[in-house]
Amino acid sequence: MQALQKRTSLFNSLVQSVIAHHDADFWLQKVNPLWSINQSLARVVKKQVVAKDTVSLILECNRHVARGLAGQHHPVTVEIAGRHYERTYSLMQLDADHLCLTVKRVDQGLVSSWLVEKSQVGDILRLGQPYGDMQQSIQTPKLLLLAAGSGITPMLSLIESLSQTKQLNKTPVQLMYWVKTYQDAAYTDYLKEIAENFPNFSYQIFYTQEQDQRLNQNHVETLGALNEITVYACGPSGFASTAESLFAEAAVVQTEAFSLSQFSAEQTDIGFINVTLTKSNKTVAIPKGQSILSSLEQQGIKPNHGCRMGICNKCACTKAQGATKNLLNGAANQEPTQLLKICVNSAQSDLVIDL
Amino acid sequence: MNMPVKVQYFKNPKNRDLTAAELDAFARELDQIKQEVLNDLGEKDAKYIRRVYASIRYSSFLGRALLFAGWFPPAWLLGTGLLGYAKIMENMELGHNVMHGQYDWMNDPKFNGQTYEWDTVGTSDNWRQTHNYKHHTYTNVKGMDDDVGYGVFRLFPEQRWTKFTLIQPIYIVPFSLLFQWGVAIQNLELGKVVYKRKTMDEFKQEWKPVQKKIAKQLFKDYVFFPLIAGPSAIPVFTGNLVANGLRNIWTFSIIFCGHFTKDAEVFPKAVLQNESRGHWYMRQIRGSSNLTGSEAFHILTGHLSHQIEHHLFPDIPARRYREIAPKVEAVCKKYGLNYNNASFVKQFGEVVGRIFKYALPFKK
Repeated sequence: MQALQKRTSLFNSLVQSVIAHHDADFWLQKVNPLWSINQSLARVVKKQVVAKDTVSLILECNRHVARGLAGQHHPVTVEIAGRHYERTYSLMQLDADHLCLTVKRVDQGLVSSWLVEKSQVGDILRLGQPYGDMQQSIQTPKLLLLAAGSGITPMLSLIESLSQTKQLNKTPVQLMYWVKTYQDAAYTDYLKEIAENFPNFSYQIFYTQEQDQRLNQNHVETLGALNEITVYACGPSGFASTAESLFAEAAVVQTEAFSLSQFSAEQTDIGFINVTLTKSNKTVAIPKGQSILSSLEQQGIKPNHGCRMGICNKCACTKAQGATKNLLNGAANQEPTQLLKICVNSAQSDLVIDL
Repeated sequence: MNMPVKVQYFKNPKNRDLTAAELDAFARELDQIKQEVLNDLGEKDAKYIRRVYASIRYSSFLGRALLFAGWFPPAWLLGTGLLGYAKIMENMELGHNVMHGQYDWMNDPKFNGQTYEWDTVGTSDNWRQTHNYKHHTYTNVKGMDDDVGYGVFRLFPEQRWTKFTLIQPIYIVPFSLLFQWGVAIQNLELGKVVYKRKTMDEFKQEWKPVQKKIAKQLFKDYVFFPLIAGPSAIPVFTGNLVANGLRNIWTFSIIFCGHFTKDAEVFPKAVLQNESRGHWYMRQIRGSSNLTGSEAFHILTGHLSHQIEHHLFPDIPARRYREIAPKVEAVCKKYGLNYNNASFVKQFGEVVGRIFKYALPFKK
C-alpha cells in the first residue's frame, strides 16, 4: 500500500513537473470555464430577483464542489476589479449539480452589492469547504426556526431538505421570519406552497417597519413547553444573542450570527486581542497596535520571517479572519482569507492566522 | 590564518551626504510615491499579469510544438526562440515578481507569492531566502548580500583578491551559460561545507528539496518532451537546451547590470546598525543601476531594467516602475543622489570592465 502511494506520488510529481495544476486549468478552462484539476468552481446559470435588494443565483457546480448539509455555510470567492473576495453564504442544494445562492444587498457590502447588481449569467465563483452546526436530524418533538433578514437562507435549505426527506411529515416545524417591509420578504410563495402541502409546517412573517414587534418574550410565550423544542436562529448578531437568551431553556439552541457592523470596528490601539494560530493549534493574547511578528516572538513563538521591514515578503501568511492595520501606512484590512505580512501589521481585532 | 585587514570603502562622489533629518524627509517622499501606486492598484494590474501568464502559456506550447518538427531548421529556430521567450518571461516578469508578493493583493491562488513555483532548477523557497530576504534587505552590503560576486567573483576593490580571481574573465563564461544552476545552489553555501562551517548532515537536509526540483526540471526538458517527440527527440532535446541557455545568458546579463556598474557602491556591515528607513532607501539607490530601452525591452527584463525602483519598492507590481521612474529620478535629483540610468550596452560594458579590472589586485 505504502509502495503504491509512493509510486503515485512520484507519478504525480512527474506529471506536475510537465504541467502544473494552474497551467492545466488554463487549458481546460479554454474548453469549459468550469473545468479544473482541483478547484471547486461554480457557474451562474440563472439570476432572479426574489425580494427587494435580494437575488437568487442558480449555480452549476463542477465535481470538486463539496455539497455540505442543509443549513451549512459555504465560503464563496468572487472576483471584483482584479481582487478575489471571500464571503460566507448558505447555499441551497437544488439537485446533484445545482446550488442556489440567495443574497441580500447589505449597505456598504462590497460583495453582496456586486452579487446583487453586477453578477451575470456565466460568471464563475470559487467555493470552499462547507461548515456549520445546523443539522437536519432533529431529536425533539418540535423544531422552531427563527430568521431575520437574510438569515432566512439556511432556513430555506433546511425546510427544503426536511420536506424532501419526509421528516416534515413527522416533525412539526414552525418558522418565524422578521423583515423590515413587505418588499423585503423573500420566498413567500415558496413558504406558502410548503405550508399548503405539509400541515406540520407553519410560518409567520413579521414586518418591523409596519408595527410588528422584534423578537421578544411575547413570542416565546406562544410556543408552549420550551424543553420540547429545538431552536435554530440566524440573523444579525443582536438578533442571534436575543434568541440565545430568550430560549436558554429550550432543549437545543443553535444560533448563527452575521455581523453588519464590521466597518465601525473600534480603532483604538489599546488592549489585547487573541490570535489563533491554526497550524500550531495555539491561541495567544497579544497587544494591539504592535507588530504581530514581534508580539508573537515575545510569547516564545518563532514565525518564519526575514527583513522585519515589510519588503521581503518572507513572513507573509494567510489570515483567515480578523482586522489588521499596516504600521507603515495605516491601511486597515478586514477582509477574510488574505495574505498578511506579520512584520509590519498590527492586530485590531481577534485574528485567525495560518501559522 | 586571516590577518585582520581594515578594508577601505569607497564612496561615489556623485552622491551627496545626507543628514538624518534629510534622510527622513527623503523617505517620506518615496513612501508617498509608493502609496499613490498602492491606492491605484486594481483591474489594470490584474489584467496585465493574466495577459503575461497567457502569453507564456501560448508561446511555450507553440514553441514546444514547433520543436516537434525540429528537423526542419526554421521550425527549430522559431520553436527554440519561442520557448526561450516563454522561459524568460516566466522567470522574470511572472515568477520573480509574483514571488516578491507583488500580486498578493489580488488574493488569487495562481499568483500567490508564498506558493508560486517557477520554471528553473532553483527552488522557490531558497529564492525567497537568498533573494527576497538577504539580497533585498542587505543590498550590496559586503558579507551579507551573497549576490555581490556570488562568492566567486571580485567586482569591487573592497573584495579580497586571490590568485583564483585572475581567471574570472574566463570562468564568467560558463557561469553565465549555467546561471540557473548557480542560483539553484546559492543557498546551499558549498563554501561553508568545504571549510567545515556546515556539517554534512545539514547540507544533506538542504540538498534534498534542491535535488527534487532539479530532477523535475531535467525530467521535463530532457526526458519527457524528447521521448514523446519520438523521431524528433534530438531537435527537441537541443532546442530545450538552447532555450534554457538563452534564458540563462539573458537573466545573467540583466542581473549583473543591476548592481555591478561603474557607479554602484558596496557597503560595510556597520551601515546596518540602527539603519533608518531613509538610509535603507538611499543604499538601494546607490547600489543599483537602471537600463534605458523600449517598453518591450523593459517587459523582457521583468522590469529589472528599473532596478532602482524595484529595490525601493520590491512589492509593487513591476509594470508600475516605468510610470513612477520620473518621480523617483526627481526625488534623487532633489537630494543630490546619482540616478544611475544608461543603455544596456553602456552598463554591460561597465560590468565587463569591472570583471577584467578587479581580476587584477587593484585596490581602488
